[in-house]
Amino acid sequence: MIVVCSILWGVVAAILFTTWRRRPELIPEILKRFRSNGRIFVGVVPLALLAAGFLAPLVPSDLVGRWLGDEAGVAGLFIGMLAGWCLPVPPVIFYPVIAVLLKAGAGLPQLVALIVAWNVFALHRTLPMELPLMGGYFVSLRLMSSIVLPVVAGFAAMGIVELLGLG
Amino acid sequence: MKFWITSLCKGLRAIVWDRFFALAAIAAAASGALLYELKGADAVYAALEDDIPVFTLLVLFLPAVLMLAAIIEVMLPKGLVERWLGAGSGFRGIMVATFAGAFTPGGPFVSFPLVLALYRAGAAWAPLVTYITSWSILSMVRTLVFEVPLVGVELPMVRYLACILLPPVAGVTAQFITRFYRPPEGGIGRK
Repeated sequence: MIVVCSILWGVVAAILFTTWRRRPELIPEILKRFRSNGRIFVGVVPLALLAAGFLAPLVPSDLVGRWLGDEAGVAGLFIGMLAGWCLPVPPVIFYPVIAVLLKAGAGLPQLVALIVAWNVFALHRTLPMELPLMGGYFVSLRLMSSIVLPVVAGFAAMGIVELLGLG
Repeated sequence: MKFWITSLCKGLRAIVWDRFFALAAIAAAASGALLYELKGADAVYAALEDDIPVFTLLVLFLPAVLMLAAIIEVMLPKGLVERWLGAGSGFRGIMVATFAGAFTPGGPFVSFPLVLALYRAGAAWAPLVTYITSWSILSMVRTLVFEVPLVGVELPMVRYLACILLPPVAGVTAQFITRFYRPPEGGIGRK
């Protein structure tokens, strides 16, 4: 953990230093993006983490286990996919929900199907961004091309979990 | 056009920031109170204790990842991407689109305008679908920033292994579909 962290910081520091030496005019722009991207993580993410931590013990884990757990099996993959389609929320809300489900005993393959379905369908960005910008043809082509991906990913994840001996 | 997109981004960002912050604060307070009410103070302490390693991870990693995302955003040469995804790039274009999508930082305000620009520059359908699919499913920055701090390493790892081949699958499928599902006359997208 500490090693990965130091490598990451080392890479970032090295890139920043080279940029500063060669093209110092880019530094303010980088800092500006850093600030605007980072703002949300000062407030929202820690609070969401707190909420997820508080909610996890309250979620009925036998229910989650039955619908999304390992014993739900292949049916759980489809339930996960449906749940992913029905959650048009941004990542700051979505991932705390996943954290709660994981703590309550949901299986990894079922969560993979859920996350992929959410990623692909993502009404919260398709409706306000993709449809007006790219038009109906592109959106329908993309959705037709990726409609089966969540379940495929879920099956692949089942194999991987089995192979690595996780879960 | 560019001015409008930028101001739209700024406006939306301000709204989103405020609303989500309020929402998250209310959610945290309400869930804490609920847990205290239903299971008592010990359960609240236990939940807080569970959060400690996650917060440590957040403080150690997040600034570095955000800085990296900002660097990529500023230094990514847009022309390079367009050259590699053009019409006739075939399967190579699909592979390049997979990589490009996985490493594109930022939200939909970055990727969708980029895709429209690529389309106008003559990129084929399959690489565009691959690019958006890869950016949706494999986005490294979103995973490192949102997913790892909140759900740990195991789930994202399994998900990447399970999904690494899916964007090319979507791209090849799109290639096949465009043979009988033709695009509308006069092109797509906002003029």
